[in-house]
Amino acid sequence: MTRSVCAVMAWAASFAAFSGVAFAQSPTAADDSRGYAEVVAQSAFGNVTSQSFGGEFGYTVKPGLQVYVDAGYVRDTTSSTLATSAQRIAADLTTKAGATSYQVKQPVTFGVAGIKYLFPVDQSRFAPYIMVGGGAARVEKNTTFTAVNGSVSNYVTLGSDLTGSETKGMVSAGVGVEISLGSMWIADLQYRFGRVFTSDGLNINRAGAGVGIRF
Amino acid sequence: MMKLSLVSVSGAAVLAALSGACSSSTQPSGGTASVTTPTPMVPAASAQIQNAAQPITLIVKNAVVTQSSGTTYLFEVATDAAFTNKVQTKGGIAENSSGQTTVVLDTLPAAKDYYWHAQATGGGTAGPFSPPSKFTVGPAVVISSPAPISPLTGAQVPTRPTLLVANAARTGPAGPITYKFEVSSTSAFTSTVLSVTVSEGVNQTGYIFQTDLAVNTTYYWRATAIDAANGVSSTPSPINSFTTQQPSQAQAIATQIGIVLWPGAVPTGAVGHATMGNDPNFGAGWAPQTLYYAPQGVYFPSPDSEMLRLFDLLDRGFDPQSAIDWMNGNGYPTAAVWYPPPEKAVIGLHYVYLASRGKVVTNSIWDIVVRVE
Repeated sequence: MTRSVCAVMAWAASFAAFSGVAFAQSPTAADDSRGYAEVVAQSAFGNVTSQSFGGEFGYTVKPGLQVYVDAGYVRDTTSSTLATSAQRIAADLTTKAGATSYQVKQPVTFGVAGIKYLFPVDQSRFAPYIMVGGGAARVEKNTTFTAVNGSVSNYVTLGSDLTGSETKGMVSAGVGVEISLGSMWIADLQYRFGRVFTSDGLNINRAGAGVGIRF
Repeated sequence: MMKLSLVSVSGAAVLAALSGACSSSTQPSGGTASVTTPTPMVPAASAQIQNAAQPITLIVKNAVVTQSSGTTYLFEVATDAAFTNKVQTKGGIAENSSGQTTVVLDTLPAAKDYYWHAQATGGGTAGPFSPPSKFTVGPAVVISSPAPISPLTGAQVPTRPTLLVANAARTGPAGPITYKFEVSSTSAFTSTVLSVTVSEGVNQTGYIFQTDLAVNTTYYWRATAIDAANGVSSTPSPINSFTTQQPSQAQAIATQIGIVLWPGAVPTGAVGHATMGNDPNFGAGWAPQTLYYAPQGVYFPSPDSEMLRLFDLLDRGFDPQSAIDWMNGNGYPTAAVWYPPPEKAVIGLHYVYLASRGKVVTNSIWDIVVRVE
């Protein structure tokens, strides 16, 4: 977890603690709707940068407070540990099976549900929010080695550090700004942080935009 | 209002907890490791190993284990490449941090082909076995220590003695044998006067000193038989000693004309019992020269080794017939004939007689007289 991510989270936590009390009863423009649905496209970053796609659905339970469901797919979250291990194995295989190349990817499919709080900003198209939730994520480790002299299976046994999948609990927190585009359409500029409780521990940072409708 | 505040505070608490996780600088590595094969290094593939070189040490280049703590190795040796007939298994060998891990095998039966491979286990994963590597253990060869022939302990020898042993007995398909002769001034062989290796002779093997040893000095010697091809050596022969003395009259001339007086067995006894006659009134003398045998018109060198050996035996106190018998019985065949007094008192050789002056046999003067018949 980087210092910048930590700082964002700490800021969000503090902001939520105070603003939740101070502005709880002030309605916003978004409070008028029953909910929203949107599709999102994000850049996922960390040890590697990849893409994330998904959808988010929210339902207003009180003015300024929504419950939401966020589901998506992150194409690659390969950690430095995973990449280094694959590189070490490939280097050793090169001495035994000829020149060996490798590919390593760690896609994540996730789904979380939680609550979303929209800060009251009267008469504005912009509605900042914070959110927190929990759910589950499936983390796959796809590592392949290709050697000049053929199969590498005689030379290596891959462990769960390089291959296989696991489904673990996940917590997520996010901040963003919901922008009204007329009476029905909305845009959503967002940042999401997720922590998947795999055996190695996995942090997922996503920043992107969503487009949806308010209903 | 109260519920909303609690929700916000709860969310903040969760995030704060996550923020707390940020303070951890490391993440535990989980799951099982990935493990490659170790690489066989020693013995090299298809290596031929002398049976005497056992025990054999197997060495592998360490495998790559992505979680490297506590890696161990399993070594297997079999008589077939499929490892259905395993003869040795060495497991739980801790990885050596030098990058190579070794194991010493128990002694394997000789004259067989063997296959070996190794497997690394670490981080909960057993890697694949390395490809089988073959080596061959050579035949079992046993060589007995050679038996000393001469000089035996107590012998008086010239300053260029000949060391002689009976060839060593051996079992198994031994290769060419050589013999290492060692001479020392101490019985513990702490100081080496000579260490030389010579090829095996027929039945016996010897070494003749090329330089003079110190006179009136006791030396100790031993010999070891060596089969270099199979890496086998005998135990050293029993240690014998000898004492050098001034060269005898015969030895001095033998050295002068470049022959070895006693290349094999060496007679016992101290010299001083005979004198070489050099008076031209009685014979041709013992100075090296070429003489003429008129009946056959033959020129021949005089003295030759046969004359010198007979004289040396007389000089050691042998009577003439005993001298002839000793030579015939110790590898120096001779056709000499002893014609005793009172008629002659000469030893008849091919071209000459060795004649005792005045027909005195003991402590006599011996002349070389060219035969005329």
